[in-house]
Amino acid sequence: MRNLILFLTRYYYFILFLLLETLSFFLLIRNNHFQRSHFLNSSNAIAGNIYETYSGITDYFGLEEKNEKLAVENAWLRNQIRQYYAHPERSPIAVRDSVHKQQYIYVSAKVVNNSTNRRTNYLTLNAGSRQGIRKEMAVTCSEGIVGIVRDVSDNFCSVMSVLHENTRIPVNIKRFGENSILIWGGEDEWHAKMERIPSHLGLVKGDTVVTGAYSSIFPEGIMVGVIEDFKKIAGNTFYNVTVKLSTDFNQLSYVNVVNNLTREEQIQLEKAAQHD
Amino acid sequence: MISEVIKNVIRFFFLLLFQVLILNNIQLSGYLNPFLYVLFILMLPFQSPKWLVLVLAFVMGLSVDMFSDTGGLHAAASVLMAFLRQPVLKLISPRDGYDVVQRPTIQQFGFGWFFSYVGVLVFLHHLWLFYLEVFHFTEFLSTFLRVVLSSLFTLTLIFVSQFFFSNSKS
Repeated sequence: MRNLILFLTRYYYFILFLLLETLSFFLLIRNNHFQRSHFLNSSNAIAGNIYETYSGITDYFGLEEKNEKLAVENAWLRNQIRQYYAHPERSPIAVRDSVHKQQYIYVSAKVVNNSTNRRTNYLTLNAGSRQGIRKEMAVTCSEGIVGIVRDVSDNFCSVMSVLHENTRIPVNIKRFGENSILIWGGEDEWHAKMERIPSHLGLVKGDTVVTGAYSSIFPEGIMVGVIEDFKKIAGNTFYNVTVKLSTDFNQLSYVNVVNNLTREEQIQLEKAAQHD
Repeated sequence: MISEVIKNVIRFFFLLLFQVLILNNIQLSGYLNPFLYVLFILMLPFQSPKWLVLVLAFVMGLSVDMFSDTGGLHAAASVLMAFLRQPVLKLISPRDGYDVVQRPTIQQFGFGWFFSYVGVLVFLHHLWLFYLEVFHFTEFLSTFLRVVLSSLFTLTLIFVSQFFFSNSKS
C-alpha cells in the first residue's frame, strides 16, 4: 500500500497526463458514434445561444447577397403561380387527392453556425424538438441537399453536413436512373464523389445527380449537383465520378428540415424482414 | 498574484471566443486553420503547478471542442502540448534557469528563445491534432502540409499578438 502511494505521488504528473489524454480519446471516439453526449456539442444551450447572438450580428454583412437570393427565389415561385393560372385544368384541387397521403413536412430554420474546412463538418440550426425536429431528419436548402440532423435540444439542433467523412447518401443519375452512393472525400467544400459507376452508361459532363429513392431520410429527386469529371479505374469497367455540389456551403443561411412521416413504418418493416 | 490569476482568466475567455467566433470562420482553404487558443497554455506563468497546467489545457481544449463539435480532439492535443511544455522549457532554459517572477514572453527572453519555445510546441500540437483528426496515414503528405501551413499561420498570429500587447503587459 505504501509503495502504491509512493508510486502515485512520484508519477502523479504522468498519470494525470495519461488520464486526461484517455478521457479526450474517449470523447473523441464517442463523438464518431451516433449517440453523442448531449452536453458537449454545439446544440447545447450555452454554445447555441452564443452562436445565435453572434450570427445575429454577422448576418447584417451578408444582407445584400441574401436579398438577391430571396428575390430570385420569389421570382421563381411567382412563375409557378402564373403557370397555375395559365392552365386551369392543373388547379390545386385536382392535385389534392385523399388517396395520396402527405409524406413530407418541411420546417424552416436558420443556420447559426457552420463549418466547411474540417474533415467532419457540422451546422447548428435554431430549431429543435420544440419546433418538431427529430434525429435523422434531412436538411435541404433551395439549391440542394445540406445534411442530416444528428442531435436535438429544445431550441437548437446539430446537423451532420454533407461535407463529413461519414456521409453516405443514396443518389441517382437522373438521365439513366442509375443508383449510387454519394460520399465526400474531404478535398474541398464544392465537390463530392460517386464510386463504381458502370462505364457503359455513356456519362457526359454536366449530367444531373439527384437524391435517390433508396434513402429513407431524403425525399426523392432533390438536386445534389452535376457531374464534373469521371475517370476510368485502371483495368476495370467502372468510373469514379466527381460531382460538383449545387449547394454553396459557405453561403448557407436559411434551410429546410424535412420530416418523412412514413419513415418509422419503413424502418420497422425493414427491421422485421432482417430478423427472418 | 491575484492580478496574475485575473489576467489569465480574461485571457482564457478572450482567446476562446476569438478562436470559436472568428478564427474558426476563416475559410481560406482546408490547409490553413489557425489555432491561436494554444497561446493561453504557452503564456501561463512559470511557477504555476504542473498539474494545473494540464487541467487548464484540458478545460481549454474541451471548451473549443464544445463549440466545434469535435468530441475530445482539441482537448487531446492541448493536454499533450501542456505535458510537453515542461521538458521543452527545461531543454531551452537559459544558463541561470528561470526566475519565478518571469513569464514566458518575447520581451524577457528575446526573439530566439521565444521562437523555439512557441515553434516547437505549436508544431507538436498541430501535428497531433491533424493526424488525430484524419486518423489514418493514407493522406500522409497532404496532412503534413496542413500541419506545416497551419503552424506557420498560428505562429504568425502569436507573434503579431505579442507585439500588439507588448506595451500593456510589460
